[in-house]
Amino acid sequence: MSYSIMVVDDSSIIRAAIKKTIDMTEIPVDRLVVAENGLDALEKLKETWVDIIFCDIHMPKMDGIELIETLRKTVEFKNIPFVVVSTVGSETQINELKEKGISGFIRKPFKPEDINAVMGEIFGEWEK
Amino acid sequence: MNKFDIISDTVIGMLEESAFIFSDPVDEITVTKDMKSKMLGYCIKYTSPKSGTIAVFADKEVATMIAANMTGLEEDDPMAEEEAGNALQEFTNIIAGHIITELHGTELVFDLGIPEAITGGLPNDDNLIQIEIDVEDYKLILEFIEP
Repeated sequence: MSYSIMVVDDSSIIRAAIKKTIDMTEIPVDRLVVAENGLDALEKLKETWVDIIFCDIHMPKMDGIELIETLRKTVEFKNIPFVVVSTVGSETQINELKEKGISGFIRKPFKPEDINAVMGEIFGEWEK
Repeated sequence: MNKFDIISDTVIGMLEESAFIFSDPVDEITVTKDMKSKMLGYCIKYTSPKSGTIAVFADKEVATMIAANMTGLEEDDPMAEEEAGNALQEFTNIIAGHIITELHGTELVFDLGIPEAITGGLPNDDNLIQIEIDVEDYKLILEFIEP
């Protein structure tokens, strides 16, 4: 199976870094969709289905928290796995995010093993 | 470990983890305010429950290395130099989050601001901690104030 992945971050550096890290995992990627913020992500989701979203929290226009709250209320998007990629280190904040329905959390800076681990947890056995 | 060592180790660790850059701290600060004014710099403030400011200054060459290594570009790719500022801004964001966690643990919730461009250095303060890092022939400076 190959995956359609969305990366949402207002930083062009982080979008590129996530792409580079995903490339290092050898996860089969059918399509990589990038968005600069939550609003941009919602617009692109209307046009393109994705299997998983990697998303920052702090973004202009619509942040990651508002995005996941919106997705979880939307019938067609509510089950898309949503992984937060953030500098947040507080267990309290991470637990709050889990209560909002995130599927995983990766702390910046991230490594290929982090992507592999979260993909494995979400999609079942991921061998690499 | 004291605050200086914790912050120093965190900076060096994050340079390695986020940008694959190996570096060494220097024993005495050699970079002047005038030299810092020629470097790229970003500062980020945090509040609640403690407040503080973290600033990162880097020679453009260091910021370019960070950009190249984070994104997979070659260092001599013009895009890497174009993205140097963005990369340093993002690095400041990452390092701030980790410094706060290393100093204060993972239970407290901090409100971390957005890194903003800065020149010249943080104001002199009794609580100012300065760390100078050698990255090949270039410099990266981290300044930290938490009153």
